[in-house]
Amino acid sequence: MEEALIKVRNLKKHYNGGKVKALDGIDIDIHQGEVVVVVGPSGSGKSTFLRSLNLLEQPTEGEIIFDGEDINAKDADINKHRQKMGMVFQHFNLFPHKTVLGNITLAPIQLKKIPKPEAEAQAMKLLNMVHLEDKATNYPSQLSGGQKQRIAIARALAMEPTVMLFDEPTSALDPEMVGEVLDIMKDLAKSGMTMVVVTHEMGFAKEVGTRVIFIDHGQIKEENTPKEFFNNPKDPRLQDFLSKVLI
Amino acid sequence: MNWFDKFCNDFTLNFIEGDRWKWILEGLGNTIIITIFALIIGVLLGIIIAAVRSTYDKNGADMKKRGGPAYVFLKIGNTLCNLYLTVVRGTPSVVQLLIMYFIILVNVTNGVFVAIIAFGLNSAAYVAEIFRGGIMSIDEGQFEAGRSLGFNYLQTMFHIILPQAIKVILPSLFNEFITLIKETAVAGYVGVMDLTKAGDKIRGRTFSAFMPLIAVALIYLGIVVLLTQLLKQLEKRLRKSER
Amino acid sequence: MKKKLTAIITLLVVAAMAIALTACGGSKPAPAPTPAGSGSGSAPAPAAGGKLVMATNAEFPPYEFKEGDDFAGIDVEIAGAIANKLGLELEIKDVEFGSIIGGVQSGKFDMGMAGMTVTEERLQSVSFSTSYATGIQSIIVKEGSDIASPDDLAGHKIGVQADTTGDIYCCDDFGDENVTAFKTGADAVQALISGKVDCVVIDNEPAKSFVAANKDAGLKILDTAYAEEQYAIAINKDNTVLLDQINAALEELTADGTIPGIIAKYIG
Repeated sequence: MEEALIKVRNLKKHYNGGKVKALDGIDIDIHQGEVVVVVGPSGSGKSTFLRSLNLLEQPTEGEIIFDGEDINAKDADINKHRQKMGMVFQHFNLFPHKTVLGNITLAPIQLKKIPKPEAEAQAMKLLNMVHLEDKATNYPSQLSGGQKQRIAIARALAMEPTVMLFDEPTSALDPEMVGEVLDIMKDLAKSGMTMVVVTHEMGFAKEVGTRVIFIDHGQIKEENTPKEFFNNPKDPRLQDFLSKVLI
Repeated sequence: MNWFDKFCNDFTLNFIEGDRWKWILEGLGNTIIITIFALIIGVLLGIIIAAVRSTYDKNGADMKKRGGPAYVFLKIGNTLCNLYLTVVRGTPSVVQLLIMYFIILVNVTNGVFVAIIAFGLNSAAYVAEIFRGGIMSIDEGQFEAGRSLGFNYLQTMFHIILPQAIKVILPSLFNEFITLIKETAVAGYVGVMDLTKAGDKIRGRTFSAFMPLIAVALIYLGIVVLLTQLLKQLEKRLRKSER
Repeated sequence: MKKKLTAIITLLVVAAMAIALTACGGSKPAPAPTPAGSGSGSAPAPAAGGKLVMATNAEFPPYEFKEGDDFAGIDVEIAGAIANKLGLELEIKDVEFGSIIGGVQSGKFDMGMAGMTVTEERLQSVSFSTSYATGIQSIIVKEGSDIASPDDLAGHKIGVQADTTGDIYCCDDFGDENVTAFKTGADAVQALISGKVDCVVIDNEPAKSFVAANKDAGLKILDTAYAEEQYAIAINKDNTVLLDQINAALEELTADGTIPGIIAKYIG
């Protein structure tokens, strides 16, 4: 088997001098092309785990080896690594002062120094992919929640990342808009993108996930293929959790 | 028309005789000079203070991790800025002005200059909080979105946070300008003839309270009303650009 | 809507002021032509056995100051002697110096007595009695100053207490730009000590206290005074009866040695 894309070793995040352990020693390898779905009860640490992968959350200790380098090391250039790790947020976080096109092209133009026409041409391709090419000149405030999230995905993809992190991408959406966002994510998974997805959408986990992880009390309690994970859960906490989310 | 004659006599006595209107003009000039230059100092220094404090709040943890002298300097800077804000906002501006005139800048003879420095340093504290408040009013998610794309702290500030914060900052800054104009009315304490002092000087000569006080009040009011109208235009335009 | 209304009213008032400026500026009428003895009756002479209300500002030793809760000083004692002569009971009101003339003018007070100098401007608002004392405007300088007499003041920065006669005279004599007015005499002296002004022109009595209080600063009062001024009592213009009565009383009290005695008691 080839070298893992992301290797997480003994990842810990403590608050109040160790009294609160949001992450309590996480170890995981994520390989090229995998779609890892992370589930768990609220407050389990699953979001903290995801946000630690690109250091939006500063871990207390542990290693995150990405592209062969420990990005949690003191001298690592985290800004460079983040360009390769796209992130999609629960609340979209589009830039309200920029048009849709401006949102997507800002980082490529400023960070990759790509000429504006070229960046815009690439942005139009991404808009085509998320089926929103007609919204290029609109401002985020003129879009629905589902449209906003699709733009946010396009914005993250514009930096041509090697992995995409999704932090509960459908939790803030009205139910009728969840589908359109999940469809885009499915397309993305089919295209071979490596993805780490924190979500409550068990259907998505079953259908698209290559591996499902259950996090509770800051630890990975169970990880398995979707089939085994849902049909044959072993951890009693997971059994309890699944009984509540799957009716 | 007796009252009109009396009004005319009063007016002549207070403003025409001895060319006293020139005092008002000179005082108004000084008030405007002090306010504008104090605001310039206030904005420049205020931005520096706000930058130190916001960087410490938002990026301090990152810098602490990387270690080195930069974080130590930032921490010391932040402590000094906090001390500065506490002292300036915790004491009356007229006391600060007197301290500046009689203790700190004891060898400077130009009262207007001393007033500019004193009000500038005073204003900096308020401007700093306006800037910091503007930055802090922007949702943390904007900051995270910027950082997640690979922008560093400063790039995130300039490309994402400040363009949004400026819409919050500009109206408050304008308000500070309006407040400052009225604050400078105590410049007379250090022998500067500002607009208020000019009115006092006329009163001291003519012993009529009504004319000089009302005239001075109307001039302040006129300026403030004018600036407030401008502020409304500005706010309207900022709202429009939001779409 | 309310804001707009305020703005409109403001503009209207400013416009009215501007019109008044043109109207008044055109003819420049003679100042306040109130015919003497027109007897509008706004301030009748106090009846015998009544009160004589005197306005003062009791912060000007030795002319008027407070001793505990009581008033004392040259003006206070002279006023007492006058009231005695007229068969009236003296009542003293302690007010801002700047409010005395206005109060006398409006009839709120019968007379104003506060080490007050007769000036052209004040004469437009009130009448003055004959002078009962002489005030001296002294010049304070640092030891070694090149100012040796009032003749040397020109071209120097002069510190004064705002709105005192020293302020008014110096502005007239040397121009506004050379005179820096401070809220208190003490501030003016502080400015002199730190070199912000070259001299301070102020009443002789407080000048003595300031020089004594700042012994280490090396201050001195010039032997030649800047100006001498006549202190007099301000009385409502319409009240010619009281003016005559007070002038007569002052004459008698000077002749019988009462007033010189009071002054000698306070100024050694």
